[in-house]
Amino acid sequence: MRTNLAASILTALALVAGTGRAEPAAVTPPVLLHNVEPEYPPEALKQKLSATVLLVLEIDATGKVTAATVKESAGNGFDEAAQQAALQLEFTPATRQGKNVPSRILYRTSFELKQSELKQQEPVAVTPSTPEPPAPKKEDPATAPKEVRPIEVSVRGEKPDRELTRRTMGRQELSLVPGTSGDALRAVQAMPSIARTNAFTGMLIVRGSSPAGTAVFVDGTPIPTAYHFGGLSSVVPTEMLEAIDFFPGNFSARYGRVNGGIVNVRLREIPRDGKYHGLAQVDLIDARVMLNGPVPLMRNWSFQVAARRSHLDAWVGSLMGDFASVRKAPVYYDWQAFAETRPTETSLLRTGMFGSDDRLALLLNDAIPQDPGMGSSLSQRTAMMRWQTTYRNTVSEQVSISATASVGLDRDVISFGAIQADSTTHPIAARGELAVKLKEGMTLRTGPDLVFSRYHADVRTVLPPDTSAPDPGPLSARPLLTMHGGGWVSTPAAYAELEWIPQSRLKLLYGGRVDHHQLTGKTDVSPRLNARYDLRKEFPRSTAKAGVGLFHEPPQLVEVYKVFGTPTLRSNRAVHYSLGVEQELTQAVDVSIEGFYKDLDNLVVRQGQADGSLGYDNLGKGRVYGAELLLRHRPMGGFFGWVAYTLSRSTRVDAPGRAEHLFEYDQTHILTVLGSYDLGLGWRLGARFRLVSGNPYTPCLGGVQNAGSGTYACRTGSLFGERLPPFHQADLRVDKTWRFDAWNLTAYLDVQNVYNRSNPEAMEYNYNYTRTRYQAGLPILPSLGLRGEF
Amino acid sequence: MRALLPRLVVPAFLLGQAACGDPIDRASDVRTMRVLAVQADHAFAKPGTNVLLRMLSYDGSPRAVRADGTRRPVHVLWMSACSNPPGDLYYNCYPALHASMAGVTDAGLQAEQIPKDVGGFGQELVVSIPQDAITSRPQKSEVIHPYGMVYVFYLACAGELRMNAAADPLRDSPVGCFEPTTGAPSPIDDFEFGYFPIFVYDNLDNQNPGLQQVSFQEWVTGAPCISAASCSSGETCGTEGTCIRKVPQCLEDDADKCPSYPFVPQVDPASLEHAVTANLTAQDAPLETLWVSYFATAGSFDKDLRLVHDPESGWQEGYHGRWRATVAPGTQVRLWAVLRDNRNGVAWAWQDVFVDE
Repeated sequence: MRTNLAASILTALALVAGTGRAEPAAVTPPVLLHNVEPEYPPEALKQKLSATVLLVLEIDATGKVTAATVKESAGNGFDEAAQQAALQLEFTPATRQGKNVPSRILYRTSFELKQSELKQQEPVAVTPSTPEPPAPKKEDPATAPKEVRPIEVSVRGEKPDRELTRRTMGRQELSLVPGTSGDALRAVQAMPSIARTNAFTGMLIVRGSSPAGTAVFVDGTPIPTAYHFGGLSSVVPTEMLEAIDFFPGNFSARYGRVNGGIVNVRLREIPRDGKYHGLAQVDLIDARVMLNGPVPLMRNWSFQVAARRSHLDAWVGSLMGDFASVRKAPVYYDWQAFAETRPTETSLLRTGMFGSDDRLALLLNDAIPQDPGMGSSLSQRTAMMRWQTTYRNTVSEQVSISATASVGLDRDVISFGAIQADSTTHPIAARGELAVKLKEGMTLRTGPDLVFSRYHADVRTVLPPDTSAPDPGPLSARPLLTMHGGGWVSTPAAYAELEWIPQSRLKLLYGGRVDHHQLTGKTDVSPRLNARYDLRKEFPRSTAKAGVGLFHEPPQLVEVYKVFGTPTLRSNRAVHYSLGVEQELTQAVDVSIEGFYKDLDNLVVRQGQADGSLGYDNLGKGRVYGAELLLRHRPMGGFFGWVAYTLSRSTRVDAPGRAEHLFEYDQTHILTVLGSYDLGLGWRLGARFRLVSGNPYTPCLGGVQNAGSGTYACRTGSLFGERLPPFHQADLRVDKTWRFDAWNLTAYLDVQNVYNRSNPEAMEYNYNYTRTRYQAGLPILPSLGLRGEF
Repeated sequence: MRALLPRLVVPAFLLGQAACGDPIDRASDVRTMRVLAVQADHAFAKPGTNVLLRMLSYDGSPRAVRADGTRRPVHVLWMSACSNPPGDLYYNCYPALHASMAGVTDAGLQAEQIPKDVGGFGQELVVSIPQDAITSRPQKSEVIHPYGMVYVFYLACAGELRMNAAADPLRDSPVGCFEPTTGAPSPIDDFEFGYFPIFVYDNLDNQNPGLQQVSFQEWVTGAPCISAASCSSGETCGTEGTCIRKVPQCLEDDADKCPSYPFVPQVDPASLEHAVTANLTAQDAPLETLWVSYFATAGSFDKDLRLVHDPESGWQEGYHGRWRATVAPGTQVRLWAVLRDNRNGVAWAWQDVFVDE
């Protein structure tokens, strides 16, 4: 008995996932390092059957085969035998311009009865345009080529860089960053450019910009909030993600409406191996399940569904102690359901829904000392849902298109004393892109970016506190403002980018977008220019890069709605400048250093109006400057990790003639060191250490009494004139995976703040602001989780 | 579209509160110069009327009693200077406050003589509400009941009142409290600076909440006395000339193990009103929020304040205070209950207690 395995290579095609095509010369396909012979199926052997199985192998950036999907089935046990062997193969990873990248290859295994022995197998190549591959060439194992060149290589996750700085974290990294309990968006905060924020604030502070200056997208669809309960966990679980792209500045013209940064969550591509896969996980925060596989009765369609529910309600009550009784258990849900197909080899159609829902209701046992007039009842509900459809097609070498459209629902309900707000928004978002290769080295990309929202709100509130102004005293003592009604808010935009490669080392990206804001009636034009120059094109590659661009961020609704704000406001404006270098050190390690400067003006600030009322004006200015270093070891050889350091300063001037002050989230030094190592035998150990400057704060120089409510307001000193002591913390994570025939079981222990550092997170004052102490952050916090997957 | 209100601020605030341990010090412990309350005879005023303000203050500082056994004087300065500041924010009154006090001198302050339209001295002040208190305020179109605001500032000082040349005209009082002997600024515990907002409506009223009296261990009022002999068992003659209850000193190291005595304000539920304000109709307005703050010159209350009525959860049965006698024997202690609603209504009552061996 012998399995005859033959290989012939007709072509190697490098397909770039998404819209563009990589330059073929820049791609190196994976090469087989370690072969594993398949077992001839006993039943097939008895019946003297031979067969050929065509597989699609998913190979990660370390060269491991992560999935083997049957593309052409042979039945009779051949598929399973081929898959089982293929999953044990080891390759050198594919490379693109010298970098290790994940890839997908077609791989044929032939089983032939010959001399009752197995012959070495090799992958074979077919011309992609040829429906039937040529018959495998039979070879003697002794003379079979050791180098395996796949017939089709799909290099994934590496679009041609149209961003000046893109930081991408794959699912494996996202799920294993210590101190995050495997939560993807919390892991992103370990990257440079992002300031550390207190627990439960749910903010992304990117390069000294305001929290509202960073937008979060799920596959191109904007979502209103990224976190459950202000940072407890992400609204999309890590298991549903392929990767997260983070753009800290000078981002492409396809993104707008913010002048900070962009976080784009890329949803996971559904495995197309014809099998069902599932996952169940439980930890101290929540429990989740996920299932994916082929859609019954629908050829070429696959689906993925997931759901998650927190069980905070089991323990939050005890955390509250005698401060509050829990009237309705705080709980969050999220869910995702997608189906996708590939109508052609170069296209993808995906449609589905995702959503989240957070609910909380508390009854306080006592009045709040700072504002007893607020009463004792608090309830809040924050819900979000999107139905999203995405289509991508690489029509030809010259043309590709992509489009994403979504409709959804956002619901916010808050009730706290006299403050009541109930708003419902139906956002409709659509973005598309047509990419046309005009000539060699010149590509034009253009498309619309539309957001229309129908809203209705019943709001009874006071003006939100302004952190740059003195303490206004208790909210309950201030007159309420009301709003009842609704309407449409539309913010249509269009963008265009011209990518020009005048010579092989230089890439220029001219871009611009036009945004119209119906609420303010203003139109913003935002031109941008980015350039990358390869000082050395071959490995180890060296690249210099620079960018300059104009960014606009429209005022928030509360700032322009006539009841609360000033309808004539313009957009906040920022000019981003960046200059940096990227240097590959080894196949796995690279370093990037980038300096940045942001000139901010037209910033919306609270301001008294000519008629004596309080409103807003575009009188604020600011600047942010600094440098970032990222030394990163990509996932390879069982290890990943990085050292990220940001040195920056962010300041604001609230109005002409006023003194410049620090931005409230300014952090001079942000250092993160983390690593995660596969110890073998299913064990994995990770650690993270952070050292960050304390946040600025405005000191209180005593209190001003409001005798009407019996409370005190802080008599403010120098605006953000003092700084909390530095924050430092170490986190550890241990994973143990047991592998069984059909499924894996993983247990993990994630310990935050392992040496129980009492980090000052805020100043705490006595009742009349005459005495103070630091308010400490979270103590040592272990989290235990268990995950099973098949 | 971004949400109208910042999301999740409230849970973050609550979790922050829950994470807090014991307070740095207790608002109910009157151990410094304190203004405990200011009451307007009409919580909502009308244009062109006079409003009487009364202050409840107490110097609980260890320095309050001088070497000769007398109490140091406390000077209360009222400064009435501002109507309808931008945004209805008290701190936007500071420029007007500095302007109105510009002609006042140290001598005038110490002689307690300043122009009547600038302010006054003592525990009470009559404020004249301007005729145009409402019409001079820009009103948003959504306002149902147009209103105005008048801010009255005060400085209660257990030292000497002087003009403060170092004051920031955008954030400080123009008058400071200084040490009479050295001229140095008084310690922060020796004065209290604050404001009382007066809401002015043409057609809305708000009564001060109904607080008839307080009971201590179900004991309400004592008979007049001249000595302990004229009081019943379990009582002694207080410094105010009435019999007061005696309780034993608690010797426990841990105050939580001391017996606590109920101190119960007798709140009149009938005084509860609908909290109609500028943007709320009577139909939309919930009932008022009521809460009571407790104060003691010695010993300790278990809670600084308790809710009496919450618009959503209703009347709170357990709003009474519990006081513990962690006090040196031979001490007469004053206990106050200050009842407030969320529309500037204020009322108070007190009792004295004697701590025995």
